[in-house]
Amino acid sequence: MKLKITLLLGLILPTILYGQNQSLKNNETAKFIRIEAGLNPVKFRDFATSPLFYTGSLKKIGLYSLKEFDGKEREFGISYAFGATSNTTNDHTSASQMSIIDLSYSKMYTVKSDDNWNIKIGGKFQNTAHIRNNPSFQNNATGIEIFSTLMASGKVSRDISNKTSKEFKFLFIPFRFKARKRSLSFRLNLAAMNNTYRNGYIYNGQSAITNNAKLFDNYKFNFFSGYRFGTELNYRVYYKNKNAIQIGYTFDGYRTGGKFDKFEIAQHNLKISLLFKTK
Amino acid sequence: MKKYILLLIIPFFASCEKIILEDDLESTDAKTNFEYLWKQCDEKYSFFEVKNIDWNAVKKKYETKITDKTTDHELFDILGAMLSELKDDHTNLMSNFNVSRFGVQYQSQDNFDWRIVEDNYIGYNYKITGPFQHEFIENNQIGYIRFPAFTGTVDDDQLDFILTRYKNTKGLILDLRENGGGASTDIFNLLERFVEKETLLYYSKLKTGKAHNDFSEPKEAKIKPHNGLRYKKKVMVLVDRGTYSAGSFTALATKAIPNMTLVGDMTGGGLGMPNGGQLPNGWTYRFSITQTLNLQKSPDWEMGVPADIPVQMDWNDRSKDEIIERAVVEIMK
Repeated sequence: MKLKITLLLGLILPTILYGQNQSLKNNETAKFIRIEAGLNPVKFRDFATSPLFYTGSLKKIGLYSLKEFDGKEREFGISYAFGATSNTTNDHTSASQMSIIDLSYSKMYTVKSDDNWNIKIGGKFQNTAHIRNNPSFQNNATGIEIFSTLMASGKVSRDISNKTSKEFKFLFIPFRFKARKRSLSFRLNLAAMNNTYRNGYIYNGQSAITNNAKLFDNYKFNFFSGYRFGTELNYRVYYKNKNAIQIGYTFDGYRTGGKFDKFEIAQHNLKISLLFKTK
Repeated sequence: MKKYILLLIIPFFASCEKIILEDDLESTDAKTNFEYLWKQCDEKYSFFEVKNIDWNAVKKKYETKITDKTTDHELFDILGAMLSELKDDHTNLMSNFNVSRFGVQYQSQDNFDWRIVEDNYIGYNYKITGPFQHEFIENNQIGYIRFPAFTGTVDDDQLDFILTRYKNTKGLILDLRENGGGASTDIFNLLERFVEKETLLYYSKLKTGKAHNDFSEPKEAKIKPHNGLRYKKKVMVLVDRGTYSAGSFTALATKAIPNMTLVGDMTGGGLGMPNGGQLPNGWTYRFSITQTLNLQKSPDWEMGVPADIPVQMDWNDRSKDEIIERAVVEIMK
């Protein structure tokens, strides 16, 4: 535990301190509301109920506030993914309805920047709750788990703006790229502290049969349990009115710790975002 | 060009599923599925000690039946028979071609025939209120209420109607025979109409570890009197071996309620709450993961809650229901 706390502080504190120095280098301020929609394929397994993977493509929507100021970048927001997942094995199909609610806060500081490249480091606090329902598991049909993760983050951005308009043909089809500000960024998030709130040993509780029904019956917090990491690749194009459109791919993978009845999930998110400049 | 190469390369590093997800365990291998189900039961089933079951001996008995040539249907029969060793109707194996079950009600004689009740006691124009079928009997001195399943739909309007209708009777007969259970919420909605003070009904404890005797501390199950219409006179609760699960919980709870009396055969048991899960071959299963203790903190009534007044049906005379007859005598005393 001490090693993990030391590691956590070692990752977060230099980020914040170094970021404070760098923050004075850039005085540009931009505020955006980012509205996101996309497809969210997931693959998960909850050993408490099944050794089999459930897969499905959820629909995802999200709303974020993004602020870029003094070389820093701060984003917070909420997303909601929903849909069906299933497993088919040996001609037996089971379906699990799934909802994923994600709340996140992220702050990044520029550590290196030139005309084309920008490198930021920082942190992200991400809370993710799943609500699952698989009727074939009878009294274990409902599964709820919450992951709360503090992550260290690094982000590399490359300015790929077209300074002038370009025209070319591909298979006799003419294409014209207008001069626009464009950027490509890649972000990596690594868990410094992953916490889980999950059912206890036997998965179910007994509150229903003791006339004291509780939603989180027999649930337990586990600190520094399991692991999480994620990546994010975004391509952003700005318009003359300073609004922007962003196409991206996000990977988010996480799991509980311990050896007994683990939960593990990998999420892929193909998304398109509209960024409305508010300041 | 470099930037486009970058676009292609980054996703390869971006989706490292294998770091998070362990190997796929999907398997139709008979031995693998046998081992998986046996282990799940071994670590989580709640009545090994109460029922004096040697689960290792059960494994030895059934694993020898599995060979490389065991078909899906043969495996289903082997696993189903293994689960039946638990003598528990909350234990099932489910595939898309069969459901295994123990069948506790077939371990003793039948004690209920709805047609006898209709033909000889309530007629055919009885009232149906939600899940309840009910009518006056014995010259309007007794209300007979049939409750065939805990559907989870029992509500105040239904109970207010029924208890208002029978408020001037000398007693009620609540017939839970062949009630296989269902939603536990109905137990408490029903029983709170028959208590005058907060009442401790039973205790429950939950499996908390792999050892067969790893359990949580017992939790109390209590009810408070309904804030409205209640029934204070005698209530005869009819039970048989087909009274199971929520039916048995209700039967157990009547032991703590002074004006309720169990009449008939002992219940089928089923006082452990079942879970649910899946095997590597896609079949699903369930088995009990809690123990319910009576007011003496004994789990022994898992094998059946005994009737206060034991009565059996006499099938030589189909014009009478001996269990109803005895309940009537008790109310009219």
